[in-house]
Amino acid sequence: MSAERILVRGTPVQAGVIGAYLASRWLAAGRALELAIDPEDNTAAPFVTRPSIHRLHGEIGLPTDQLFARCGGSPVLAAEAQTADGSSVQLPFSAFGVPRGGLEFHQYWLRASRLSEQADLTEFSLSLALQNAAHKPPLAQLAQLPVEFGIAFDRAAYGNALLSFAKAGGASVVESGNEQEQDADLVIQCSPDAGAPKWHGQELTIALESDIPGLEWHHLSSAARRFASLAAPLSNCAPEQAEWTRLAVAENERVADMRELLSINDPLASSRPALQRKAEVFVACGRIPTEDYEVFTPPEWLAALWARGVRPRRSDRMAERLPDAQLLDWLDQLRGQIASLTRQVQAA
Amino acid sequence: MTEQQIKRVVIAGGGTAGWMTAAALAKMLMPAGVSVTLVESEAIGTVGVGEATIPPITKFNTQLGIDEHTFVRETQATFKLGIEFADWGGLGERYFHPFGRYGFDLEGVEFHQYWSRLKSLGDEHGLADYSLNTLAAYAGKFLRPELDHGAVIGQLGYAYHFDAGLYAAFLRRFAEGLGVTRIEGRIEEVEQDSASGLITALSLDHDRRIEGDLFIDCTGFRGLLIDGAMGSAHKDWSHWLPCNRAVAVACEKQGDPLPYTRSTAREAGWQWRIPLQHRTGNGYVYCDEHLSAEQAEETLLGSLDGAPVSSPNHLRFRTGHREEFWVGNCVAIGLSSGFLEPLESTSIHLIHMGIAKLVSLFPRSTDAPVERAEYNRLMTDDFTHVRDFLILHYKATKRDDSPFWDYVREMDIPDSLAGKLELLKSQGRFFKYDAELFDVTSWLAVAEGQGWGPQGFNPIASGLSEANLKRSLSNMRASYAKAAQVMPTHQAYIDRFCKAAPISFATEPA
Repeated sequence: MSAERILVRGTPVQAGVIGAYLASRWLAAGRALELAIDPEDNTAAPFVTRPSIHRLHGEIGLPTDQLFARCGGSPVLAAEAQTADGSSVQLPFSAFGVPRGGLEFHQYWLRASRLSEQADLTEFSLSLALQNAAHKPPLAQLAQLPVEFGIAFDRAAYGNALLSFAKAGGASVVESGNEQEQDADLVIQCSPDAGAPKWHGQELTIALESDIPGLEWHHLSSAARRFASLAAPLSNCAPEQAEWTRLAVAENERVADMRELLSINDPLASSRPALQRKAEVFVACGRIPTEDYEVFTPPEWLAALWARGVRPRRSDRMAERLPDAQLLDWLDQLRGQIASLTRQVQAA
Repeated sequence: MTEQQIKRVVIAGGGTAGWMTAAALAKMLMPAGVSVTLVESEAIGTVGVGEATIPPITKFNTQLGIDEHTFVRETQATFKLGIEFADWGGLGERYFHPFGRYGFDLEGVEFHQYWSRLKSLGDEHGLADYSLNTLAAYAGKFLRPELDHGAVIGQLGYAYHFDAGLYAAFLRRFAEGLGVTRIEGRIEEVEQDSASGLITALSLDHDRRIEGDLFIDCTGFRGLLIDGAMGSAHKDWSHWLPCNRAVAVACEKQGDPLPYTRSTAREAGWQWRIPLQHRTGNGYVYCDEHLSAEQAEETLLGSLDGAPVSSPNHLRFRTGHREEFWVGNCVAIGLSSGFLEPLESTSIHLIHMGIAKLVSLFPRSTDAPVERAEYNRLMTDDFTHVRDFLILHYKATKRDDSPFWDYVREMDIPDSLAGKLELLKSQGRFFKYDAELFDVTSWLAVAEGQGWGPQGFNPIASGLSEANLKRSLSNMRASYAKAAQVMPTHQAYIDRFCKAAPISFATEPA
């Protein structure tokens, strides 16, 4: 009999992500991993992953290019989220423009826009240009470009591929209802209705959210990675449980900030202190302060603030180091380069 | 309230903080139309805080465009690979806090987890055997890592020991070269707008008046502007860090300078030893509830490497920081903003952090409540993170040979530190906050060095077979030992690239 046994419950793709990671990083002699699959996954939407997928695949030895081909993969350079007024906003994974002299691009854009009319800030995003192009570049070409990207997979195909990988790594896979719950030292529950993530006693709950594409992936992958990183003897792991819960809850707070930003009319009046601070500092000087355990990157926050109509009152003083003519030339060149690169990629 | 555009920055006080601030603002903001004026008086001595630094200082100098070898030559600097702690965990014990990391991660699992597993199998090699910084430091070696030096030497992290007075003078030349105006004079009064409370000007001796829009308080412990004029209260942390006095003295150097700082725990505090090219800096940081100034001086003078070259300088300080670092149009940087004992050489780093955040949040006008609040929040975080790491050194001790050590061993610690220690002790788990300065290497070095190291390891480290584990770690040890062997001596490196002109102490200005 195994000394430690973990049972994971979820849809194929949910149990697949957790199972593949734990099979590779946790399973060992004296340990057992069982995946109880709920086959009733009626979600039609693709399973969108964030750029961290490349690291996770690398860590456990999953061939991204093969999965991309087998599971209907498509590159994702920005996540598309809905706002309260029904419009959508694209949150790019990579920076707008390019930073210069230690200062973010949008500070220069702000200054330039006060000198003369400029194309919208979003026109300076290579990520958005490629995301909105008629044809996405192939993986090999994307890897050569200065952009971060995730992958959208066919949910069922990717789930099945991960389950096969977990199985090959020693996990057992059963249909929900046939699992042996009474023997499990830990039950990992993937639940869209959980409210808050928690590891307490013999149950670890991953609270899944999917209103922003890529979030479901993020919650699953970071839960698995964090669990493996903290893994302790399951009979004696109170500090590890507390730390797992603390980190997961902290991340959820950051997600809640983004959700509120996308949904309320006046982010400056938000009752969430971290979001209010973000909005206030952004308005005051164009900086986006980060909190511990952010989920979204600064370009995503910038895009969201921008889309919600939050604008800085001024640009950073350091943007004034560049003479006016040089600044305007640079912006013109940059926009031309993005257009040209996008055309080249399309033509290839 | 009248909104004043920020076009004129006035820095009150020279010294390390003043001239670091002046140099950075001159480099970053003068091209954007901001003028920088520094007021200092040669009649007022500087504390000369620092001398020992940590690796981010290299970034500060690089950002200014300072040539490293020129800087080392002109400040009588030496290179620093870490800090040796003697008698901290217990009398007769010593360990090294290296600036470069331990070992190499394997299969995506942190190195120290494998090391813990090997230790559980009975292996007696310490963390130091997997640290090029430690091996090189104890062998008196140094080499500046370059891109083509490969992965092992590429792990070497370093900082400097330097003469803080010479560094301030070096930066003064640099800053004045960029257009900073220096005014010699004593500040007699800080003028404030009666309605807004904002500082409008500094009144100097001989009826001079320096107007400005933003004022930087680098007046040291006095906090002439931030405390005297703006009334920012002091947050006291002496409950956790009870040392409140120091006595410092320089002595003649003996032999080649070691590439590391030494911190030796004493009866009621600790003693530093900082080797420079021309002399050795020494000091005893202590708690005056447990030791008199005379006793501290006697202990210090009785344990010098060579003859003293200066008179002992007695300092009094309060551990903690300003409740607000930035009030109105006044920002405190350096000792005026707060003080944490230099046990981990963080004094100059905290100046650097203050400057970096000020540049990042530099206001357009005096009415900048949001930038101010953010600056205060970030600086409070910086101080708090460093505080917790310092407390670890005192708390993690077995010493029971004096009332001082009894107190710190038994004292309560902040919750933020308690949680971290519990995880670290159980199985070497460490999660760094985004803005936290010290990483897992530092925490491990001190915790393990003082007997509070991991008692277990992450089971993931069991993924490697025992034979492979032993072979991999044996290979690592051999690689580090070989790299340390082929490196030049610290003195040879200095002689070759950045030897300073000798200074005669008979003629050195005070």
